[in-house]
Formats: sequence, C-alpha cells, structure tokens
Amino acid sequence: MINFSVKKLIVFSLLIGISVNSNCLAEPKSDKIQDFLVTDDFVSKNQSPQNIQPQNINDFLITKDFVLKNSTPTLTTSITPKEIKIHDYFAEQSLKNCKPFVYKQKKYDFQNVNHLFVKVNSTKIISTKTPMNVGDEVFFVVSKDVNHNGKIIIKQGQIVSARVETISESGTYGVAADIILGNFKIGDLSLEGEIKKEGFTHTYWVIPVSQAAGFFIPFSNHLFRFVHGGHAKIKPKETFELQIPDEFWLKQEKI
Amino acid sequence: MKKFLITIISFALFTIMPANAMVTDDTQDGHVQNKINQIGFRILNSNKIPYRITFFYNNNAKTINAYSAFFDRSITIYKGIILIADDEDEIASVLAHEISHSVDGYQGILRGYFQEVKYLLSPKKYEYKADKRAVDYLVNAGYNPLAIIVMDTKMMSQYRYDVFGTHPLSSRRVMEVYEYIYEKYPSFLAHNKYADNIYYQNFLLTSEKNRKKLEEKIKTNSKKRLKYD
Ligand SMILES: [Zn+2]
Repeated sequence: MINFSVKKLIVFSLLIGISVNSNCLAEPKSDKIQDFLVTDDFVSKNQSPQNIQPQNINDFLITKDFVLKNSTPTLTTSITPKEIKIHDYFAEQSLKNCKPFVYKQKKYDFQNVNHLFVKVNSTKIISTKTPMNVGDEVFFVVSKDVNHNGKIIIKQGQIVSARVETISESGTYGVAADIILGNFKIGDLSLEGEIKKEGFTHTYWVIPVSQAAGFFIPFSNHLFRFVHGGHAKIKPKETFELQIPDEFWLKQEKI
Repeated sequence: MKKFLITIISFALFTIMPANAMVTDDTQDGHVQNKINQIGFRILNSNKIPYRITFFYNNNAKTINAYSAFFDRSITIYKGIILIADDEDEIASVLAHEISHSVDGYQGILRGYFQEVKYLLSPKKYEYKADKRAVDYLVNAGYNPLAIIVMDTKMMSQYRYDVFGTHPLSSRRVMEVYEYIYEKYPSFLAHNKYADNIYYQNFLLTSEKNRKKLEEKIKTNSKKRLKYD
C-alpha cells in the first residue's frame, strides 16, 4: 500500500514538477535529534553527510490546516483562565523540591559487538507475592570475577543494586504475574540490561479443563476465568547476566 | 462560444482538480507516515529495543485508534489519532504503548507465539503493563510521559464496569499512569508542562477522588496496590 502511494507520488511530482521531497531535504530546525542518532562510524566516514532529520511536527500535519483556519483564537489547549484552573495541590506541595528533568541520551554504538558481561545472583528471594512498589531497591551480588585482558575489572562478591521497574499482577485464566528489574548499579557504575521474570502460567491446563467442564456443565467454563497465574519469583540460585557499558572497559584498556 | 468556454473550464476543473487533490493527499500521507516512523524509531533506538518493529499509517480519519498486530508485531496508527493529537509527545505516547505490546509479542516460547493467547485471556494485565512501559519508553526517548494522560483523556471513553471487558476502566488506567509517574519520574509532575492544558485540567477534575486515594497511600507509606474507581 505504501509502495503504491510512493510510486503515485513520484509520477505526479514528475508530471507537475513539484518536488515532494523538499521538506525532507530541508535543514533541520533542531539539533536535539542528533542525540538520538545511533553512531555508525563506518558509514559516517565513508558517506557524504545527509540531512534526513525531522522538522517541527506541525510542518507535516497538513491535515490540521482546516482546524487552524476555522478555530477561534480562544479555543486553544494550553490556556486555562485563572478563575477556573484546577490545581493538583498534593503533587505541587509534595514535589516542590523536585528539580526539572534533564534528558540525556546514552551514547552507544551498535557497530560494536564485543561486549563484557557480569553474572549476578539476588541476595534473597524477590517475589511479587510480597507487597512491593515500583522504585523499591533490591540487591544482587556479583557471582564471578569479570576479566578483561588478564585483568580483573569487577570482583566476585561486589554488591549490585537494582530498582523494581514494573510489577504486573497475575491475570485471569491462569496468566502469571511478572516483574521487571532495572537500573543496575555497582557503586557509580551503571550496568546495562533488565531482568524480566514471569510466574507459573496455568493457562496451558486451565483452557482444556475449562472447555471440558463447559461441555459437561454448561457455562461452568466461565468459572475458570478466576483462576489466576503464579507469582513471579527470583531466587538467589538463579544467575542473570548484565552488560558492562563499553565505555567502562575501553577506558580500563587505555590505562 | 460561451458554451465552449464553459466546457473548457469545467473540463479543466474536473481534470486538474482531482489530480491536484490526489497529490496533496498522497504527499500529506507520506509526510505523516514519515513523521510516525521518525517518532517510532526514535523510541526504539533510544530504548535499545532489540526487536524489529514497523509502523504503518492508515489514513482512515474516522477511527481514533492504534494497534499492534501479533502475527508480525507491526504497529498501525489511524489518522484519527493524528487529528486529535496536539503535539509530538502525544503521538509518541500512543506509539510507545503499542511498542510495549509488540515487545511482548517477542517474548516467550516459539518466538512469542503463545503471548497472543495470554493477551486474549488476560488482556487487562497487559494494558496496565503497556501503559507503564510506555512511560519508561517516552522518558528514555526524551518525550514527556504526561502526554499519555492528555491523550487518554481525549480518546478513551469510560465504560461502567471492566470485569468482562478487554481493557481496564479508562479512569483506572490514567490513574495507574499518574501514580507510576509520581513514583518514578516526579520531575514531570513538579514541572508540569501540561498543567494548563484543558485536557489535563479535565483529568484533574475527573480524578479528584482517585488522587485522594493515592495521596493517602503516599502519606501512610503503604505498599498495597490501590483499586481506583
Ligand atoms: Zn493496549
């Protein structure tokens, strides 16, 4: 479908001499997008620079023209008269010391395929059964020395902190709970990667059994909706692998 | 002569105008498709999502929806979404949610084949999860996660009950997003760019009771999951 419209575009632009690409070739208005570029050294060294950066979204939304031309100036989304403004007093008060969010895109290079990994085990059982909140801190321990060029970079036994990123409770028809841990750190060093764990899924037996039950006792299959899946559990004997950021060991290499 | 002129003019009108209209249409669709790709791939790359996910624009304006297809993990976004979105963050919020579904479509045995069954059986769980992951994805890509609340206020209608539905009650979903942002990325609430936005204002208006519940939870340091109305 898309191929077809591109072809049509080219044919028509040739016919009436409109360069439909003019927007794409224009200078980028913001250099912020540079932060998002995945660096590919080989390509950047061997090719002439190209500007394929997006512009302001409004330039593209031609569909909005009608609305813009026909709306009254008071109909804007971002102005609320003081008299009717609703305040989120609790958030405003409780978060008043919070600094503005500063965005920083991590630099990375997908060309590089040689990475170093660190093996970790949790210090105790982490389970969705115990009440937990997003943001809670949990701990792991390095289970094996990490060597690079004959030197130990990270020692066994070092403590790794992590954060509960999301908890998703078990669902109907035996679908299990799951938990995602992230933000792994050894001291100041941030490790890359996440640990995702899912509980036991009962779905595989719940479905056939509920169908069979429904065959003998009409509508009884619906009762199986209330069978929930298992809790997600991370046991100390399970080993997980996290990645050491490339910049870290490349720096070590120079020393 | 007059008749002849009219014929010529009307001929010109009928032949040139539709052609022009078609060009405009296609150009426009092309631009929107481009923009969607740029937002979508920006989210994928800055979150280091190691799966192939594609984005397709459907120019049906009557549908205000987007979905992630399980068989090929592609994401389709309808024109209706583009029409009601007021900034890039809002479009990104819809894409980030769908990306989370597509990422799920890669998990588990047989390259994620059974994930579809799980989704069908317990859809609400995955909706909450997708909303929360969307918050993370947006923040990591440099977007404002509160855009989810703004967008949901505009596009998600409120059903009476959600016991047998596939999606949780919209009021619950937005509150879970709000709570997640409060706990994990409070700066966005402390310096809220949407504070005056009429849709965000409407969220504040309609979520008063639920926000009171959250306030209680935070003040008492409780770890229990709240059941929002
Ligand atoms: Zn969804």
